[in-house]
Amino acid sequence: MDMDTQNIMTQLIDYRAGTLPAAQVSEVEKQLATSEKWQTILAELDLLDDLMEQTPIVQPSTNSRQRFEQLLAAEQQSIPIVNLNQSKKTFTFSINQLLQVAATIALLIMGVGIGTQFKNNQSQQMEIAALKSEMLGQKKLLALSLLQQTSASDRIKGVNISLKETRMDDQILYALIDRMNLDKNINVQLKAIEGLVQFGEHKIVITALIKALTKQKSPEVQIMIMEALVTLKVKDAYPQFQKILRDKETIDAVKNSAASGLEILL
Amino acid sequence: MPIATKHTDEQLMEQVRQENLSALSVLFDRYQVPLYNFFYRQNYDGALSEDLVQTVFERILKYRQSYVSGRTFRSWIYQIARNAKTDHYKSQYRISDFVQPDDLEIETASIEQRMETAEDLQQLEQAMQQLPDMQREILVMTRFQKMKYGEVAAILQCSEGAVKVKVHRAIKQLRHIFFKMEQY
Repeated sequence: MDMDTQNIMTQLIDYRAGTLPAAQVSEVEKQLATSEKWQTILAELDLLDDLMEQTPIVQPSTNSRQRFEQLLAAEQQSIPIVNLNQSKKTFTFSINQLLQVAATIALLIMGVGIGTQFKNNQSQQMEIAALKSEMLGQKKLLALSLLQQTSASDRIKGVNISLKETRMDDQILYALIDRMNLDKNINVQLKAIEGLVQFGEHKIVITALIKALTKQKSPEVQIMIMEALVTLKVKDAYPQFQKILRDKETIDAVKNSAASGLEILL
Repeated sequence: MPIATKHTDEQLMEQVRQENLSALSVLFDRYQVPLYNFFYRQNYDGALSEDLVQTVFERILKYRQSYVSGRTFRSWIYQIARNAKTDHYKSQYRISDFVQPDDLEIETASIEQRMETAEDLQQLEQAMQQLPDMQREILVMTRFQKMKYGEVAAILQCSEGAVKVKVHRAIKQLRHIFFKMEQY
């Protein structure tokens, strides 16, 4: 296509769209009145536009709607019903109660110790298993309680116990997510994120990390979350990383972390 | 909870984000056909286009928590649609073979006119097929889906001026291919 045709088309596309500057409109109309080439190109553009206008809307099959309904139903069933406010209330203990829990744990450990002396007895082994299970339950209560204490160091202890000495379940995960999102102490937030990385196979953890990245304003927390998402190879966090890069208020250190994270995620 | 269909897309998506997943049904009703046509006008494959529509809604469900409140939903869903399309072709390495649309309905006065328009439409589709992916996509958005340049700019994350330049290039290229085909 020669340059002359290119230029004519550029002007005619704008002319047809009504976006040509007023000063050029009369010039184009003059050309259209006298030049066959201009008239031909305009007719061609008209034809193409008419055809695109006439192109029918194609309907998907009814199967498409059914597939969507199935997808939606499956997702609705998978939503866990958790009331965080209730869980907080339930697990708020006084220090005295905590000491009682600790004492119980000590007794249980002694029980386990005594139990191990009778390894050969099958019924005693079952008893040991039950005691261990009970002990884990107590430690879970202790961890959940510590996570609600006013002292930041207690809450960090709570995170540590949650990670090392309890069976991970939704209650613990939500408590850690809560600490990441709501704790006023940045060290507790960072510790919670560090802990959550260990449970990246849980969908709620990934969702919570992505959501937190959009809400948290502390640079340290943002960087830690991005590192967690990169470690877990969460490609779906890509838009959040991009948003951080585009945000004018974000400091350079956070942007650098987002940029290097994007390179890895890509 | 009943979902009021008068709600904006953004309000409905906010409900989805807050785990009221039924709101997504209304969004599906609103976007199923436009998205299907968005894909279909680029790959001319009905089954694949339906799969891609499902993929878009799967991703919305999966990443519902990442929807930023107040963000224009239409731009967001089309960005997801573009990503779904790109991911599909990355996994396939090539664009699917040309498949004739199966339910074209053209309303014109005479049989002659009707045949002529049908032939022209077929020729247009073949010309569209020969366009580079990006040019085909931008024509689908601006001409077939009738999106404003500003809206396309938000989806492609570029300026309106850049969209205008891309549209110009695409139209010029389409005209070149279309009328060259007429010569044979």
